[in-house]
Amino acid sequence: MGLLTSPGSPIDAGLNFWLILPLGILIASGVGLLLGLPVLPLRGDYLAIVTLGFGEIIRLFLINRDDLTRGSQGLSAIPRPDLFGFRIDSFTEWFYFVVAAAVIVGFCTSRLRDSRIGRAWEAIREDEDVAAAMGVNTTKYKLLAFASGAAIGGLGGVIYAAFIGFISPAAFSLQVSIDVLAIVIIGGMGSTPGVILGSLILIGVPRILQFRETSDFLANLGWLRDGLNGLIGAVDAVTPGSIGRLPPAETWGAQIADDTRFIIFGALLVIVMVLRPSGLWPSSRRRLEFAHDDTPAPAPVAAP
Amino acid sequence: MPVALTLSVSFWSDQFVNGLTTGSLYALIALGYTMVYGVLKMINFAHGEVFMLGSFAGYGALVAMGGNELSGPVIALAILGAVIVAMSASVSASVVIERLAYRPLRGAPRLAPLISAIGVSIFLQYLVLEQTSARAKFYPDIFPRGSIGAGPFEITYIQLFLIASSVAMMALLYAVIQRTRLGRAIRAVAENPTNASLMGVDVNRTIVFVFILGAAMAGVAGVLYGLFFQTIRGSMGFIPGIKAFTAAVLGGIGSIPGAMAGGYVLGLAETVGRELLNELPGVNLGNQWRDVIAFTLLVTILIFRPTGIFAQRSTTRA
Repeated sequence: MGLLTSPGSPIDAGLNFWLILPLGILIASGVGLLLGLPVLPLRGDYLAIVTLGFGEIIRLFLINRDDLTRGSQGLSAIPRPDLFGFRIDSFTEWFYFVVAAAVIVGFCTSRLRDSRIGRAWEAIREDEDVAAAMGVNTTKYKLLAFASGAAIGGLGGVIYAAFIGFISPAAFSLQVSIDVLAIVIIGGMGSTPGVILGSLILIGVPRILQFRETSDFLANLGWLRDGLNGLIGAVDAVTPGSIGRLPPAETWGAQIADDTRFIIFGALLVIVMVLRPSGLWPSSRRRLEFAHDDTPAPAPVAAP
Repeated sequence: MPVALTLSVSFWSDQFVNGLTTGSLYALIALGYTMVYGVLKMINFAHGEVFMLGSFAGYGALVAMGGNELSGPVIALAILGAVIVAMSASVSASVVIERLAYRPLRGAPRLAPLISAIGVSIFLQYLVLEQTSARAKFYPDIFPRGSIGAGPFEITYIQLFLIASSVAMMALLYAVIQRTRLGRAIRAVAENPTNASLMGVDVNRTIVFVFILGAAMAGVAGVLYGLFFQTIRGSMGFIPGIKAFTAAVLGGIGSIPGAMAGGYVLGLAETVGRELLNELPGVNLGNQWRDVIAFTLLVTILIFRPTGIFAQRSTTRA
C-alpha cells in the first residue's frame, strides 16, 4: 500500500506547502478510492497481487508520461514549508516537524480504531461475511479503508517530497516498499507500537552503523578481518574461481547499512514468519489470531 | 470490421515470432507458479529468483567451459551442460526454500507463507546483486547467428531453439504429470491433500517434487533467457516473475495447460497486441509500455475473470 504514496505528491513548484498538503492528501485518497472500487470483491493473496500490479502500472505510467513528471528525471526545487513565518529548514527542525506529524497521525489512527469505523474494519478483517450479516456496510467501510490508508500515504508523500526537495516516480521504488513491508511485518502487523519499534530498529540501526564513531570502533576489528580473509583464502585455494575478500573493517558498518541491509531484511521476514509471525510487539488481537497455528487448518470448503 | 494495417506482413510475422519467444519463457516460468499454487494455494513469490539463480548458474557453467572461446559442435554440448547446471542450481535452491521458509508455515494463515516468500525473494535478489556489485553479466555470445524462413516469415536460430526447447520441456512435464505415478500423486494432492494422504500419498514428498519440477522449468528458462537476451542481473527475476504469474492467472491458476497457453497469450499481447493498439489513431506505445500492458491484463483478469480465460469448471478457491 506504500506504493500509493507516489500519486500523492504531484507538487508543482511555486505552490505553498500548506496548500499542497491537503491537496496531496485529497488526491491520494481519491486515487485510493478509485483503485479500491474495482478490487472490492477480491480477497487475500489476489488482492495483494492486484495492489502490486496497480503500483507498477502507476509507476510505469508516471515514468513514461514525461510531460507530467519529467519522467525519471523527476521534479526538483520543491519548496520547504513555512510555519507561522518560521521556515522549517535545518535537520533538527525537520526532525520535530516529522515527529509532530507522526504523533498527530498516530493519535488520529488510534481514535479511528476505537471508533465505530474502526470496529467495523476489525469485524470485516476477522470475517467479512459475518460482518456483512451483522449489518456492516462492507462496501462503504472497505472503500473508506482504501481512502484513509491512501490519505496517510499521501501525507507521507508530500512531507517526504518537501524534505528531500526532489521527487521522481523512480524514487518511490521497490526499496521504499521493502523498508515499509519489513517494518510492518517485523514490528507486528496491525500494531502501532510495533510499527514504531520496527522503524526505530530497521531504519535506526543502519543509520547508527553509518556514523563515524561506528566505523572508528569497527577499525579495531582489523584482526577479525585478517583472520576471516585467511579462511576465505584457504577455501579459495581449493575451489575454482575467486570469491573475493572482505573489505576493510572500518567500512563494514556502512556496507551493511547500504547493500547488505536488504539481504538481512529478506532473511528477517522469513525468520519472523516462521518463529514469531505476530511480530516483535504484536497487537493483542493478532497475537490471538496467530496463536491458532498449532491447531490443524480447517479442511478447504468447496465452492458451490 | 476489417482495419487496414499500415505495416508490412513481415513486420507482423516478426512481432508474432517475438511474442512466441517471450511467451515461451513466460510459459516455462508460469508452470512453477501454477503447480505450487495447485498444491499449496500459495503464490511462490521467490520463483522469479529461482529463475534468476538458474540463469546465473548457467552463465557460470558456460564461462567455466570456455565462454566465448567455444566453437563448433562443442557449443551444443556446452549449452546442454549449462542447462543441466542451471536446473540443478534452481532445483536445489527451491528445495531448500521449501524446507526452510514454506514447510514450517503449512497450516498457518495464508498471509504468512506469502510474506515468507516475499522475504526469500528479497533475500536472494539482493544477495546476488551484492555478489555481482549490482552489475550485469553477459552470456557468452556463442549461439550461431542467422535465420531461416519462407517468404515474409523469418525466425532466427536462437528463437527457433528457444521455442522448440521450451515446447519440448513442457511436453515432457505434461507427460510426467499425466502418465506417471508421481504425476498422479501431484494431481491428487492438488485436488485434496487430506484425501490424497488417506489414499497413501506422501503429501510432503509430493510437494517437494512439485517444487523440483517447477524449479527445473525455471532453470531451463534461465539459460534460454540468457542465451537470447544475453544481459542478466540480480534483479532480472522480478518482472518475468510477475509476468509469468500473470500468465498463470490468465490460463487459470492451478491449471498446467492453462499456464502454457497463458504464457503465449501474454507474450503475444505484449508484442502483437501492443502494435495492434498502435494502429489505432492517436496511440503510440513504445516498447517500455509492454509492462503496463502485462500488468493491466493481470489486474483486469483478476477482477473480471479470476478463474482465467479458459476456465470451464469453477475451481475451488475463495
